[in-house]
Amino acid sequence: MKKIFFIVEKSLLQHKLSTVITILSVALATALVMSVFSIRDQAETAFTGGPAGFDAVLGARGSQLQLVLNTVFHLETSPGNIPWSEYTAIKNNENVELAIPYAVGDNYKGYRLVGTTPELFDKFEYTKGKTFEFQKSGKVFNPYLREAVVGSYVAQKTGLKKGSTFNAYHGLYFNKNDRHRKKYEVTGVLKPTNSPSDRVIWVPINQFYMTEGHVLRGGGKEYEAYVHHDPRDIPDVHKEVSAVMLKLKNPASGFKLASSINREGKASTLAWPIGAVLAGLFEKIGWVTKILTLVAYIVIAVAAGSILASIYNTMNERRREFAILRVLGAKRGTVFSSVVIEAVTISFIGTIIGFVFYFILISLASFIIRKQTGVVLDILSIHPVLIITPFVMILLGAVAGIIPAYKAYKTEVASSLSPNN
Amino acid sequence: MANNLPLLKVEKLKRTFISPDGESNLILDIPTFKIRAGEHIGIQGNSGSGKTTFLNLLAGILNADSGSIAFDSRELTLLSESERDVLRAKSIGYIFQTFNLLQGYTALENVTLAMMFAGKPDKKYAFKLLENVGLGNRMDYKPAQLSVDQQQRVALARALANRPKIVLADEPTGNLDYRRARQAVKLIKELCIVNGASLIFVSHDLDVLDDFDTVLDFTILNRAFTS
Repeated sequence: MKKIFFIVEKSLLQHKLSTVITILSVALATALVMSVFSIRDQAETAFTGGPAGFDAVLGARGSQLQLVLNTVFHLETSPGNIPWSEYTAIKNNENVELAIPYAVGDNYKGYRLVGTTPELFDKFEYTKGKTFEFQKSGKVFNPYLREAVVGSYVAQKTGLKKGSTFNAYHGLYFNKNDRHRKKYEVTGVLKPTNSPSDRVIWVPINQFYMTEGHVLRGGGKEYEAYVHHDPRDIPDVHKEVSAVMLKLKNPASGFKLASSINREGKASTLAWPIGAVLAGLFEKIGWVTKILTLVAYIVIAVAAGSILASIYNTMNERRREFAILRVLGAKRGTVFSSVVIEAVTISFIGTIIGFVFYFILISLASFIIRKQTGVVLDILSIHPVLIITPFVMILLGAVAGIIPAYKAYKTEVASSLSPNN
Repeated sequence: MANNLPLLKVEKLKRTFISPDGESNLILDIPTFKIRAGEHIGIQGNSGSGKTTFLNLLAGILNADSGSIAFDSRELTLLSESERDVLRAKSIGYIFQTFNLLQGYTALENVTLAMMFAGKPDKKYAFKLLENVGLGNRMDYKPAQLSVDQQQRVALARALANRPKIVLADEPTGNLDYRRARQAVKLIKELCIVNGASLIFVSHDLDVLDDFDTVLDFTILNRAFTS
């Protein structure tokens, strides 16, 4: 074997340029395939299983997916509002363990303000066993004062810290002309949760109502709550919420509520279970994944073809070399093996470099997904594709090496060594 | 130096080639040829007289149509291709007119690779061989970095790498001027004597073969050519 590896090493060095290009094409193919499958599955897992913390969302009649994206991931626009009475009714429902109201519609430099109640910080577990924690001496806002709690990512990006004051801007997208007059004061910054909550500024829902320009329609007609000095003076009948986030007592509760709200009711929608609603999103964009997968397979085929082409193209110039090796005593099998092992070596080195490219790609994807949604991918998780792809690439390398290896095997020694050749 | 036992004995050796128009041409017909262990024989013959084919048959690179090649008590024509490969690696050194050095390998690697095929890589001996041919300071040079006669000396060192019993030299001086050709012949003969190897040295130039006690005319040796 030593002599075969020696021949392989010399050949790879002798054809440095084509070797490097082929290795890079294998590396890119390996990285692309591993990234497509790994990012797809990790994103699906992260979105459908991870960051919700809630079992269901109650919101205006409409798309469950839009409701979930708007409230859990703080993406998309709100499908509309529901009256405060819906919140109080669901909160007192025997199937509900925890109900927290959300009101959305303002932003600060593009980061959403979500009006809610202090229960979010006391009772809600954003992931099993974990409630929100504050950095340093931060604390929850007073529900009757114009205060705010800032998510870690927002704090990092905007520089807001405890004691900072800021003006909110109307709408979900930042427009400097839409500034609200009254300022919020930051009472605390949350520790990172690696969830979409890191990208949100939480404010008291009452203060949300009392922001000038906000009109309440919970009572069926417009009501301007910002005229009040104390939020406790706002009649409940006028209040409305964008959504109510729910923790249910058990899975059966979800069935009962979904049945009564989605089938029998007409005013609101219950998005439940959140994971299944998001899985629907991945089903809808499944064709994108299919195309990416197809592209990945094509890239693999091209990489295997490039191994074949790069070695096969050198066969004519190497015919004499193989003949010399035969004269020196190399058996046909040795020559055949050296070409196959050369192809396998290219695949192997390409695969190793492919892992480096893969970590760059998945880190980049993770960064972008986190920036856009707050969802964090576990880039170090071992996906089966990370084990299967290298094996497939090396196997394909060996297969690609067989054709040129056979040509080398069949080299006619005497004619190849003729001075005329 | 030479003993009386034939190291290589050829009898009724024939080889035909099929021409492009499908005609069978007898190009080699050697009734008898032998060389003793340690003996040096020069063979003179014109281009196209079948000298290279003869050496290729002796080296087991080509198969004979009929006849016998007995080498070191073994019948070459009865050996499998794989057995001939092993025999060639261990017992036969081959020097070509165009040297046929491996271009991606250094002088030293050209010699040590030949040793690997015989299963006995010996770097020290490879160093010694290259020093003996005057290339002690060119071991890490690749063929393209060496002059023609330096390349020829690497080819000689490689042919002797496995202490072969016989060296087949096919017009090794064909690309050298007369003075260098004579020096090369002298060096090849000397090293074959030192290594105890028999030598069949083929050349179209009779003058180059002056130093050989035995010089055969291939046009007489090969009946196919005379007929």
